[in-house]
Amino acid sequence: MTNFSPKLSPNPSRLPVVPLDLEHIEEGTSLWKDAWRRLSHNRLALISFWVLVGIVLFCFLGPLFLSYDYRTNNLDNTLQFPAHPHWFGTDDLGRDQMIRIMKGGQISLGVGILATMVSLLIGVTYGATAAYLGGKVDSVMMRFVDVLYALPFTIFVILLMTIFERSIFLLFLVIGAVEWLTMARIVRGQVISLKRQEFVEAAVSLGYTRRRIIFRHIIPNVLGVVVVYATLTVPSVMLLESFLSFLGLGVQPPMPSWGSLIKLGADNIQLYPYLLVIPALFFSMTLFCLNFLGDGLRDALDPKSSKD
Amino acid sequence: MFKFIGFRLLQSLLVIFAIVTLTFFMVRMAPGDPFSAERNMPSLIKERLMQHYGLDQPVLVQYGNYLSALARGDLGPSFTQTRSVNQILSDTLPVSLELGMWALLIALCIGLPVGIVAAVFRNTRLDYVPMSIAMVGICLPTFVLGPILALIFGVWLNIFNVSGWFTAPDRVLPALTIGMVYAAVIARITRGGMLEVLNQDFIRTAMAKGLAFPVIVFKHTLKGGLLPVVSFMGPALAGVISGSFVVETIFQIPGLGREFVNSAFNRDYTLVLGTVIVYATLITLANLLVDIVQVILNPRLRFED
Repeated sequence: MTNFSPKLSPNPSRLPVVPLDLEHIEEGTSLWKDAWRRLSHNRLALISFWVLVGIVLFCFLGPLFLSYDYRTNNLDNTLQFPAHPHWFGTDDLGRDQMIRIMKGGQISLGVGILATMVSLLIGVTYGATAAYLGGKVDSVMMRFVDVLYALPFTIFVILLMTIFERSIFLLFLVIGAVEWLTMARIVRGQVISLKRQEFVEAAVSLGYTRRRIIFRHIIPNVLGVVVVYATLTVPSVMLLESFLSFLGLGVQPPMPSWGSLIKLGADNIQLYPYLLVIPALFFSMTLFCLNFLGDGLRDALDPKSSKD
Repeated sequence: MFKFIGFRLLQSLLVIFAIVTLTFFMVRMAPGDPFSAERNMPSLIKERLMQHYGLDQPVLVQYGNYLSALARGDLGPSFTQTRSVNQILSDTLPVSLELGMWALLIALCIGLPVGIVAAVFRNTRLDYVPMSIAMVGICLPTFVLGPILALIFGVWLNIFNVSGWFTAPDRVLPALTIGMVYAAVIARITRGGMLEVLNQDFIRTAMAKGLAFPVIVFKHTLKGGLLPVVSFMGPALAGVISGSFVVETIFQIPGLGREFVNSAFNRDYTLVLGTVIVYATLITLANLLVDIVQVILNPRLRFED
């Protein structure tokens, strides 16, 4: 805070003392404060956020309260309908379905977040490099992205997952490698448009160092958009993971994933619908919430690009 | 225009060739061979089998042989089935094409009207309600929607068969499963495209002239407003194909998608390659068609290249 008093009142003893009303000084607002204000008015996004927190806690802390194990078969107790003590029933090998849904959630959410990180890392680096270098390099790099976009990627993902030994690690890599394209495009567009804006010019003309401009001016502005699209990438990654697990190409048994649990349910809908309905409910809820939260974040952080 | 089409055709051929090459070497790089699933196969028999299919030769020679056979339209024998790859493709492709057609038809017949209505009656209940449902639809992947539709309409209400592909009603659930997701996406894209055009000056002029509102919507807005939908048809087709992998497994449909997933599991090299070639050709041709239609609909694009 600046110190006003000595210069404003040359002779303090004669003038009436007006106390500085600190309460009502207009405080500068920041990108993040604005975003928080907008987000907290979006009830759908807030509800989604809390439901997500609930699902994450259920999946990661829930196993502490259950005495079952997700891979111990109990063949005397197969395909029990939901009832005490198995509130979500048991599967075809007599394993408690609730612990399997928790474990499957850990896998699906974990893959979702980690593979998003991979795609974030590749996409942001690639997009920012293209935008920074500009010119011919930029157009060649983005042309390459265009070509990759046109490839039938699910087919290649399926091929990769069948050809090489299936492991969670490969799953991260493959999914991350597919999902970075959109991120690269978005980041490039952002950086290019930011580079030309007045406040960057102003910063340059004020003689700030390049490092300060990049870290104080460019990155915080790109960050919002990156956060938004990362939130929207998580559900599409989870979709891809579950799609692969559904086909039997994702995580391998006895490790469950929401996709493989849904597959088990789909195979048994005639007699044991609970095997389908409960995991499908968890999976869809998570996708809804992530999408609503992502939309809310986009409206909050990047109001210009929100859809009408 | 012809120069543009010729150029794009050449480009498409190159893309297909690149995909074939990439797939060929990827499949060959894999550990294991098509006969490793059969346990206790005497090594002599295995050797003979490898020799019979030319798998004992250097990879580059195999590649050359494959390409020259491909040029003659021969996709080779399947390693795991008695039918040849050509035979399998001609048996299963029509089934998948039919499924895809119905799915796209459902997607367009639901998505377009809903999107147009939502754009015209923007910010009313006719906009909010369908668009919220579309949001839900987008979040429901085929492998969740499919079993749930089968559970409701097949098991509980007992209207349709849960699996099979014999009678006309058997088409309904699989086509709906794939189509609904794209109906939701198309509705959203249509709404966005229509709104963008409806906000432009020439529409205001038309309004000011006192033209009837339906004329404005259907004659002035539709052509430009549907451009984004046209460009979405390429990715939509690719999505319908990957949807068919799941749906054909759920509903036990003897189509190409199920064949592809199984052949990838069984390392049936020639069948994998054959299916990938068909898919790559379909997707590339669809993208080409989309580009051409776009240029026809939007003359401004003609002068860009």
